[in-house]
Amino acid sequence: MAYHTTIYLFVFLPIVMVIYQITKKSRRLLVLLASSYFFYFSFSQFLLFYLLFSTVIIYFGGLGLSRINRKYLTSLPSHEDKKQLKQTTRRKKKCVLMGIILFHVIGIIIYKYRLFLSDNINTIFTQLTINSSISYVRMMIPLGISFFSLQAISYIVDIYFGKIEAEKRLSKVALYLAFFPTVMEGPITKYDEISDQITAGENISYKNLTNGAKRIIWGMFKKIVIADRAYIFVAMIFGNLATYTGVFIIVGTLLYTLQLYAEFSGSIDIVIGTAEIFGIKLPENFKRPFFSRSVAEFWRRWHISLGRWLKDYIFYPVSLSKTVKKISKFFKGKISKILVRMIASLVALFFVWLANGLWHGPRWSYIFYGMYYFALISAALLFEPVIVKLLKKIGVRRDAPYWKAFQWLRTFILVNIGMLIFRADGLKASYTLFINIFTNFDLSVLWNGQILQIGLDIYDFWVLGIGMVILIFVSKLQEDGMKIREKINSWWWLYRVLFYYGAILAIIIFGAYGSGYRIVELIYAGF
Amino acid sequence: MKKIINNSWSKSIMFIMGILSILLLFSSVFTPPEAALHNGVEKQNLGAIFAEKKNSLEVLFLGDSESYAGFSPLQLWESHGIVSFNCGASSSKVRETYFNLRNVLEEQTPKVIVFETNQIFSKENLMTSLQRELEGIVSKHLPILNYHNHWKNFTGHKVVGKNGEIKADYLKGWRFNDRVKPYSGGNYMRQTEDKEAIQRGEGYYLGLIVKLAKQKNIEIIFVSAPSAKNWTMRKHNRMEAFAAKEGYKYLDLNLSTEQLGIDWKTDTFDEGDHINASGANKVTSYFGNWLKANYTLADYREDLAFVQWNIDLEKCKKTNVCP
Repeated sequence: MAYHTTIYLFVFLPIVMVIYQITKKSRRLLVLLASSYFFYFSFSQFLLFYLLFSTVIIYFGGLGLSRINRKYLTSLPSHEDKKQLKQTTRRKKKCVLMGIILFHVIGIIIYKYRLFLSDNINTIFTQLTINSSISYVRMMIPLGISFFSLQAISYIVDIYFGKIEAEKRLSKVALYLAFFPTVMEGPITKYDEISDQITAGENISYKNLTNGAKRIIWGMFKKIVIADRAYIFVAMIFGNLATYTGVFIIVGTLLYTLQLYAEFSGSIDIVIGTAEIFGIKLPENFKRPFFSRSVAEFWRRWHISLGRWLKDYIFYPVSLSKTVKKISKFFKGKISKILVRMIASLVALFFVWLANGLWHGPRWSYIFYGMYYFALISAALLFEPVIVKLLKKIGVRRDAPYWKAFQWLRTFILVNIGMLIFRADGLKASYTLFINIFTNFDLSVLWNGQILQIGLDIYDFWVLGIGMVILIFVSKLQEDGMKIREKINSWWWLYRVLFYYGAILAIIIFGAYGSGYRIVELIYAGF
Repeated sequence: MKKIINNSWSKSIMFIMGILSILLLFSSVFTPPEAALHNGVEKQNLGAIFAEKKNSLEVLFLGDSESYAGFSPLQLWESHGIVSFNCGASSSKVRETYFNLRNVLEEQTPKVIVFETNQIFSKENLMTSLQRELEGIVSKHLPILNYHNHWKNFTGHKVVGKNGEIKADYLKGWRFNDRVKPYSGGNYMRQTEDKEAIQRGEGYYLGLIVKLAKQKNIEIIFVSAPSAKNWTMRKHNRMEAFAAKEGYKYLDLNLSTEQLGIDWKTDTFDEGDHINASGANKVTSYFGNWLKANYTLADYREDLAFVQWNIDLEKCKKTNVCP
């Protein structure tokens, strides 16, 4: 029952909407919670208990932290005892916090990294000629474990640092973790940004319903028409390493970038549209990433909620930690001042990108993918002053259009190399693909018909091309500040209706679904 | 009247009625002519087996990807002159195999069905089954959902001809894959007396397949292709009991991997989930000998009516995609 399926859009969602609307305002939270658990159960069956367990742990953990705080504030010891009490309080709070974080990290390791770890241990055994091996135990992975675990950690850390108060209603914490539109693919929300909205129990208004539906239609267009069509070509290229070289790999990588963006941002559109129907405004997860002129900017616009989480819960804690401060102090006077200032950022960035790679899954290529971006962003940080000086010296204006175009192209190429690493089936495969780009490089395959022998005919390429133009056009309008849905709402009703019919028909006719097409599961649901 | 039109609910209902009318209208334009259909299914989508000569096949392989990865009809032809076809379909369920078999048996009269057992234990949850049923019902009433891809016809590029041309498959349903991604998890057939359960839906359609085969007097052989990631002793025990109860033979190749010469370091392309071309060569070779020893199947290699099979074998060797 993924977000783009008929059963979600035409059965599950309408039923939830009807029950929600006819229920008393104060009980609507429970309707959303029950629907969320039903949604979760339909995927993960009894692994729902893991989600429930996580909910109970952060709920009581949060209350526990509050209690420890209250106890500290209400006791009035002498000055000496106060110091002692402060330390004891801090230690107790830390114990609760670390216990909850460890529970979620161990949960992720057991469910997601078990095979990866046993595989690597077996490889080491083989290398050392140890005649022993760890057997695989196949287990289902709880749906969205990587998403709701991060939300759970953010909830408890925010209480620890006093940013939010511990929630007294269990149902509210439960819905925060399990909310069906976000539990599968995010966006990873913070408790304080949606807690009031999910309990408000707003009526489903005509405005919210139509605006949500528009966002869902746009998401479906991206997923079904663009992403699932691009998938056909991408799967052939990345699935047959020995067969395709040169231009084929370049086209395959570009189409994968298109597929991943259209699919992930498309499903987030469906998610945000769904929440909007219930009057809940979720944070955006994408902000036209392919308009970026640097890799760092790209990551501020791509999977924004993950980036924000990593910044808040890894970057800042690491860069402000005592150990990092000690390292910076150690280098003071030994290396240049600029470098000393950068040490904290670089160490924190290393952990951010390591976590980013690991978060995506149990593969060396994901870890390498994280390190690739760590290297690029660190290099940009380190060389920025040199480049500024150099550009000044050779008279290149940083706001000149040609320089901006160069920056855009450079970023686009670097991001696509990252996509190749990300999509390839392992590190060795990404290396082979990268090297093979320079083998049999023949541009004529683009017009001699060979490119049309890989699952997509000329009409499919036309659909992809037009879809991409629409995507760029809409993105440009949004980048220029236009609120597209409001603009459409201002049209004469007949134009509006014809536009919606056209959009729905375009998805039905040009969608890559049904016979002759494979069902393409949501990529990020697998993370 | 104006009040009704401005009402939100009325507007929503009118909008939905409008889109349904448009879809019905477009459905009539997109649906192919009768001649291109077979039992309501577009011929082109039935699969390459419908390009084979009528009543020419003696052995049919059924199942999911474990079937089409493991058993090569062209190798059986080369070694024993057996005419077979592999109808395995990716991630397919027993229900789909049943309906596919019904269609195939209208054109073919096989003596033996080789049923690869992996799909019998596929676990499809209720929502996925509902999704399939729902899509079936909706597309029956709105055929544009089935034939939407025919927009290409209007550009002059014919997706399907009037009589529904079906492209033949010279590999006869087997799929070539020579990638290597080793399995290193050790023994996966640990002794146990337990039996894996067969889900109700899968059991129901399996029963229908057995009934259909008995009606048509076709022998069924249940075979489990080597799959370190999918197969277990619990599944073996269930299949052994089921085959014995129905009076059919059951061959579990997971128990004979050493005899077959399966090396999990070189004979799998996805860490033990499926075997690759090298593994298929070993499996087909072993299974071909076993089949020949246990059943009376004719050798058609010298029969002029089957000359196309030799041409296909040549092509397979030329393109270097034989197991």
